[in-house]
Amino acid sequence: MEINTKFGILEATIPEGQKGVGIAISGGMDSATLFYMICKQIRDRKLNIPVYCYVVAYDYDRGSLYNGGLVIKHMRKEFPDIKIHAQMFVTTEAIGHIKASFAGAMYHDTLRKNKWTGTEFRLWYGLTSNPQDDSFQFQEPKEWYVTPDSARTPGKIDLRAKPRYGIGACHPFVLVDKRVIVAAVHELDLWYCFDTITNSCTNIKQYDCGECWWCQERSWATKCAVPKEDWPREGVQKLIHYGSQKDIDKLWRDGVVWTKEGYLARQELLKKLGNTVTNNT
Amino acid sequence: MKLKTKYGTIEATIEPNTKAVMVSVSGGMDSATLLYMLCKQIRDNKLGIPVYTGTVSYNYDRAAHYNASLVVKHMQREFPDITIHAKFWAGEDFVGKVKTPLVETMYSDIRLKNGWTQQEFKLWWGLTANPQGDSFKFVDPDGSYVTPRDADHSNEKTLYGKGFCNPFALIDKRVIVAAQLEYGLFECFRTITNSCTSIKEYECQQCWWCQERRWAIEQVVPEELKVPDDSQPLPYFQERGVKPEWRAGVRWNEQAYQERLSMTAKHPLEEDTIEWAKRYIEGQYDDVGVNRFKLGKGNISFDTATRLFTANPEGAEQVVCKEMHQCLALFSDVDIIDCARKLRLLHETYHEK
Repeated sequence: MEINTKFGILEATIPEGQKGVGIAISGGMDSATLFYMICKQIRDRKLNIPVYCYVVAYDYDRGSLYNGGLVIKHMRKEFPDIKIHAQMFVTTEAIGHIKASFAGAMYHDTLRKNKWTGTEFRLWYGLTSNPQDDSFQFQEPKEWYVTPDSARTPGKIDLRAKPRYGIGACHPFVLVDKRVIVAAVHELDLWYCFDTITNSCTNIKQYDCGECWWCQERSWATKCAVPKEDWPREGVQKLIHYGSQKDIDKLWRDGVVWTKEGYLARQELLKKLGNTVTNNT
Repeated sequence: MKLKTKYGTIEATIEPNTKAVMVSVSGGMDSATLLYMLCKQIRDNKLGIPVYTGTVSYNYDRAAHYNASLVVKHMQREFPDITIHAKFWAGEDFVGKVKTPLVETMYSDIRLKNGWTQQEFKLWWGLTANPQGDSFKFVDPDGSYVTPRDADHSNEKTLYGKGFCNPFALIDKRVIVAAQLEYGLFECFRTITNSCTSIKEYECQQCWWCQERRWAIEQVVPEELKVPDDSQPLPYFQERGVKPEWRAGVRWNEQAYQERLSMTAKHPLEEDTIEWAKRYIEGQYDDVGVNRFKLGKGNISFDTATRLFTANPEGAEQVVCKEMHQCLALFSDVDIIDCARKLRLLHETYHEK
C-alpha cells in the first residue's frame, strides 16, 4: 500500500504468504498509521489474517498503555471484520533502552505458539527517520529530555539493523520522516482521530509537555503537512477543539475515520457482518 | 477479614455463597489493598472463586491504566492459585463524572453473562473517608484541582449492599497505610500505585489526593520507609535491601518470595516463565553472573565486554546477535517457555550459592 504525499511516499505492503501481522504499538502516530495501513490491506486484499498488537509501558512511559489502548480500541471498531489481538507488558523498572526487546519477546511468544516462521509472521515497527531537512529547528527545553535516536539520523540508518522488510522484523517507514506520516494521516481522513488519541511526548513528569524533542518533532510535522485550519489550538483540548470546530458528531468517533461517511460505512459493514463481528465491542 | 490498627479497624469480608468478586481498581492504594484482602481470604478460606477487576482510564486520568495494570500483574503473581480477570476501558472523552457507571457496566455485563445474582457477585470499591481529625492540613495548590469526596458519604455508601460493597467508607487513608505495613505490602504499593489527580502531570505532589497520600504516609510509616522527595521508590527500596527477585508479587520480602516460589511450583503461570526470559533480556545476566546457558541441544553465550549474544543452535552455524530474541528464533528444537524455565533454574541456583 502506497500513499503519495508532498513530502514523499509512505509505503507499507504486507508480503505474500503472511499468517498474521505483529505490530509494536507505542501510542504514537507512526505506529497507529502503520496499524491502519496494515488493517486496510487485510480488508481490501481479503487476506483474512489476524493482527497482534504489542504495547510496552514502564515507569518513564506511563501513558503508552492509555494511548496504545485507545488506538487498539478505535481500530477494532473501524475494522470489526479483522481479528485484532492485544498484548501488553507493564513494569515499574527502567527498561527504556530495551523496550524493543520486550515487544520482541511477546512477538516471539506468538510466533512459537502458532508454530509460524519469521517470514510468515513479522513484527512491524512504525519507526521513522529524524527530520530530513533543516526546516526542523529544535529549541532546547529547560529541563532534561529524551534525546532523539541517533540511529534514526538520515543517511546513517543501518538497514541491516532496521530492515524495511526483514525476516522477523519490518521497519517500512525508516527512510521517511514524520511529515510524510502526518501528511498521509491527513490524506486518509485520520487526522482528527489520531491527533486526539495518540501522543508523542516523552516527558517523564507530564502527559503532554509540548517542549521535549518528540513534541517539537510532531508540532513541526503538523505545521509542515497539515493545513492551518486543521491545526490543534494551543490551550484547548483537542477533542473539544476538533469536535466544535469541525462539527464532529459523537457518533462518528467510534472508529478512526471521524467523518459522517466513515461512520455510515462502518454502520453498513456492521449490518453486513451481522452476528459474525470479530471484535466484540 | 479484619485487622486492628492504631488508626482504626480495617475490615472487608467475603460473605458466604459468593460466586465471584469484582474490585474497581483505580491504580491507587485503597483499591489495591482491598484487592489483596479479598484474594487473601479466597486463598485462606479455600473459596475457589474467581476475581474480576475493572479499570477506567480517560483523558484526565491517563495513568490509571498503567498503575492498575501493575497492581493486577503483581497480584496475579502473588496469587497464582486464584484466577484474576482484568477488564480495562479507555476513552478519549471527559468521563470523570461517569467513571463509576462505566465500571458498573463492566460488572453488570460479567454478572449477567454468568447468571449470578447481586448477592452472589458484588462490585467492591476501595473508597475511604476523608481524613478524620484535624491533623490533615490541606494547602491550596496553584490552579484548579480535583476536589475531595463529599465530606459525609456514609449514608449513600453502604458498607455491604446488594450488588456492591464499600467496606472502607468509614475509615481514612491512615488505616489503609497501616494495614499495608502490617501485611507487608507497603514497599510494593508505595512503588506501583499512584493517587495523583492532576490533569497534566503524573505525580504533581500538590493536588488534594497527593496531599492526602503524603499525610497518611507521614503519620503512619516509620522513617526508614519514607521515600525522600528526590528519590524514586524502586531504587530507594532496592538500596535498603529489597532484592529484585522479591518484587514479583506484592509482598517484597524474603519470606514472601519463598512462599511464592512454592505456590508458583504448584500453580505455574505461563506468563511467569516468560517473565524470566524477559528478565534475562532485561540485563540481569550481569547480576546473576551467568553468561552461558544450554538451550535445547545447543547453547547461547553472552559476552559482557561486547554485549553480544552468540547462538550455537544444534545442527546450524554459530550466529552473533545483538538482541536475545534474535538468538531465540534460531533454536528450532526448543520453545521459549522451556528456555525460560532453564533460565529460571540458573537464576535460582545462583542465589542459593
